[in-house]
Amino acid sequence: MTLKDLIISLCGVMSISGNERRGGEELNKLIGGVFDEYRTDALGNHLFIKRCGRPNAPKILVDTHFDEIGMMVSGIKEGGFLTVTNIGGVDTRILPASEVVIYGKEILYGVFAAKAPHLSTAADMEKLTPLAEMLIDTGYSKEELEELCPLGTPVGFKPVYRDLLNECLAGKAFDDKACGACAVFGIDAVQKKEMAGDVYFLFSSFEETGMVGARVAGFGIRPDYALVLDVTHASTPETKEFSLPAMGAGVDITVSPVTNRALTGMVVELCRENGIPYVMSACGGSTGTNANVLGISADGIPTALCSLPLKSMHTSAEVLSMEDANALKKIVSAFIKSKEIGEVFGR
Amino acid sequence: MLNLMKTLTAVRGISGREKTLSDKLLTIVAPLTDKCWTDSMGNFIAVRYGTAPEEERGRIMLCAHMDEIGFLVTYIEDSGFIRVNAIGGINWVAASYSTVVFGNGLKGILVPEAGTAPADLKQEKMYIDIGAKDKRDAERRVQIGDFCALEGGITRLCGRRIAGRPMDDRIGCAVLVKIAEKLKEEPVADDIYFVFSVQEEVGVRGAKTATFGIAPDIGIAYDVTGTGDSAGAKPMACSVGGGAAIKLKDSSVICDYELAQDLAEVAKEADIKHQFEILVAGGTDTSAMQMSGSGCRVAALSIPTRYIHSGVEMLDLNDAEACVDLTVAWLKK
Amino acid sequence: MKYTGLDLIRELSLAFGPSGCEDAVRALIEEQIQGDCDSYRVDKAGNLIAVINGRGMDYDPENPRHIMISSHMDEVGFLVREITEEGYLKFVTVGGMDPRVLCGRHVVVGEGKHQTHGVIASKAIHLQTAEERSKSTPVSKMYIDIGAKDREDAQKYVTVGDYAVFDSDFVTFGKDGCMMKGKALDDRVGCALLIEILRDLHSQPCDLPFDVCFAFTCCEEVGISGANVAAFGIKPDTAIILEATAVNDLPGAGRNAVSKQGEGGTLSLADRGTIYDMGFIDFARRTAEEHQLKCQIKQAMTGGTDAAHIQRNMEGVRVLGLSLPTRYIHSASNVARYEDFEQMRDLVIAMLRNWALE
Repeated sequence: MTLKDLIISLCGVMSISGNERRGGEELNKLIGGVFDEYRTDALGNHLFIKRCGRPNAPKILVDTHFDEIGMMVSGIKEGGFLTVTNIGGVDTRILPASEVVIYGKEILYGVFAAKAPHLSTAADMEKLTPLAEMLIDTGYSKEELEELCPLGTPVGFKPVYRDLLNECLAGKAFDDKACGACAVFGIDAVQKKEMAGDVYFLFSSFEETGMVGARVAGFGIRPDYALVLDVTHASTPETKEFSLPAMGAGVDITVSPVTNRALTGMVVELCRENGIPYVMSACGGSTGTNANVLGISADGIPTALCSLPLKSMHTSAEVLSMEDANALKKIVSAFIKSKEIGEVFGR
Repeated sequence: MLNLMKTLTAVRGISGREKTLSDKLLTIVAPLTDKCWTDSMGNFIAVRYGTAPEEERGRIMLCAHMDEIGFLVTYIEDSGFIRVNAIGGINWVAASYSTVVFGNGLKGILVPEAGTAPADLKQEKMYIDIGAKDKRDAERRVQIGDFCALEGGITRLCGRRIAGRPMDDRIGCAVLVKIAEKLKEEPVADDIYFVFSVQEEVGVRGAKTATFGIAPDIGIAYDVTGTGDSAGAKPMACSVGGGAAIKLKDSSVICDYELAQDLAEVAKEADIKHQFEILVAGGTDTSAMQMSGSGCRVAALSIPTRYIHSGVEMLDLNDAEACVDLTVAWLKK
Repeated sequence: MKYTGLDLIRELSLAFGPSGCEDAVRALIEEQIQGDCDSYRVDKAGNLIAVINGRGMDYDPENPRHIMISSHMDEVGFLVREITEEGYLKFVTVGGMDPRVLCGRHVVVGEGKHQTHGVIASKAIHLQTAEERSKSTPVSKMYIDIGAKDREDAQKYVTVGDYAVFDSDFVTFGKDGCMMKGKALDDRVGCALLIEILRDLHSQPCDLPFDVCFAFTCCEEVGISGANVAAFGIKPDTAIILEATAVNDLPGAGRNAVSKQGEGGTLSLADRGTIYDMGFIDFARRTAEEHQLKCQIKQAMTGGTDAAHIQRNMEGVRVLGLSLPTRYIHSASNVARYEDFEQMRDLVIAMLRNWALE
């Protein structure tokens, strides 16, 4: 399996926040072989452990979040239509006429209704319909739907993956399972005796709805130091004012008040030594990632944050660069190998 | 249940000032449980130990908040009028021209400045008139920093429906008391912690520390929820009289999917009226329980309530009783 | 349940054919009708016209009557208008589209071996202002991302003037797969109907007192209408236009639903371009009743079809508009009900075989 295959496989596992536990079995099949132990907890966090084989070795946490944004059935209407509510930040601009998968007792297919332009005025077309007023067309009757997909049934974008030019990949749920795939490849590439400690790979839950999973997992694991991998926005023509990293330029390493300055510096040093392409970015406060909560979890976990640049985040047509993904993979390998980091931050 | 609600709504318990209510609950709950205490935040906690051997017992936390929304006195004008700040989510339209009660029993009326347009009703435009002649007269009765709230009480409506305040969340407290009563008769295997939490209305603060202290395996919150069945309400598949509302999601939490399904299954088997709830705006202690310490699996049973945070919160006692029955049936299983 | 026409609709739906670039669709149809008609030709405007000749006592081979049945081959799409310095493609829409159905869609740019995949990018929700979250993005601000590094890189694959269409598969869904979703169902379902009707007349010949001319037309979506040229060449006295019409039969739509899926083809009384022939409509309804087929009347005057161009051609042509009620047309996900397709097909065949229009 190549890194791209694993990205597509992982992103195809439905893991809308609140449904992380459902994906456990498939997750284990896909990546379980790389690790020695597996655990889950009350919140549906998936924790995979690869032991270095030495007693009292440092505990290294690598966190990526397993959950993805999506929707949940909130109502069933006459004529076979569903209403939904958002789980995490769903961009309503992409929804009209988009295709969805309804993960009910059976897997159903649906299309978001969109009025034909023939029936809309120019003024209508400027307005966005709020999610609560949108309808999903299913081709079933109300009664059938009440049986097949009761309230609370998760609804996600239909997965479609396409290769673009220059090793770019378009698809859904790259946030954050693409990073998860990079972490798994990065960890798999390092032999046990080379590891600076025991590696705890956390596929955390509920990140999109308030970073809940990592908060409690950090408390439970008590790692010595952590590397959080998440996606960040890649620069696009309409986002010039945000100073975002260019896609294909490498991994984005974040400096922020919530991440550990010394550890971040050491990660940058690792990139230089290993010739891994990277760019630096600055975040004034919240990073919008699990780094926010891990840093202050339990008695504090020194944390560094590396991000994979992504375009059109939270849509069904997110775009990433495999060149960046490969760089991220290498950072993970270098991070868990680094004896220097182990010495400074280990127990 | 009605008499219990009358007792519980007669006492004020504004966020941060729950002591009077906590004392009242102590007298009711202590005889029903094995041990009671108050933690440093002021949460009132009672435990009913399970019948299983100690090492095999799970810990289940049932939680309802004691506090209610209210007002904090911030300034007394020369005229004797009292300016206040909101404690919790005050709906100023619903609160205006109402009687308020202070901790010492003093009453006043909350009114807007003359000429205030209805759309302009907000904190800056409101004051409390206690009938004082001037500032000095007022200061003899009220000090800056005092708390007050809209007058409590209950009106009986058709059937088993009641209106008044604060249903949010005395009804949850009442449900907990009723559960404790039933468990007194029929004990269960696990340890059951009854948590009457503080400061929910200002950001689910009490439940957070209570959960950390107890470290339960499962937490269930009992609170009111909005409905889609009042005139002009936004669409929501939850109604007064529709039974115990099993929460799937609100704006602060996504409940444990399997646990919610399990509760629905038990309700179905025991023929207890129930419905699912997806609340678009608003949060509960559920979120605090979920992410405290190592986290726990959470569910919430809500009592569908119309006109929440007004003086006429309205609900159906049958729904509350369904929450009691469902919890007991689930605990036995 | 097996729907025999589905494979045909699927193939037609997937074909690349925005207005002015219908070659692939035409080639596909040509392949399908060869051997099933008496003759066919492609006119100078790019319309494909296939003919089933009449026969029998009432047929005049010297000076035959012509009945025209037409559907358009083209679909809505995009034209690349500029390649930016960063390698993104700015575009114009071809045919009327609601900008709200474009953000976040997958597209294919160019035809054949030069085809590249792309997405219509969307500023991430995290970066949108409150105002942006409540307003749609105008097409002028949108662009297609094909993964190019810069302009020079993009130009290796794309040039200004390349066409693009939605990248959307064909799916059947709902109870027993009763619904179908695809791009360009407007009006490839019409093309599929024409092919099925043509095959029916060919395989079970009967004495038709006229030639039936099947016109697969170009450029309907941009209003320039190849149907003009087709009608001029065919010189029909009557014409049936088979279309996909926009419906809005959603909960709460009430009188704005236009028409309903599951009730058969939609007969137009009048739309923005045409007031249809009342006698012809009566004939259609009578035939439907006699053969226990469903059809319904369109309850709105919205949209327009090739009928406008055909009706006012030469000395005038009697026209009938019959359309498949289709949800979300002019988007990547047109949704129609297969049962309506069958009802329409059978109705047109019944009309032709029992021709009694006075």
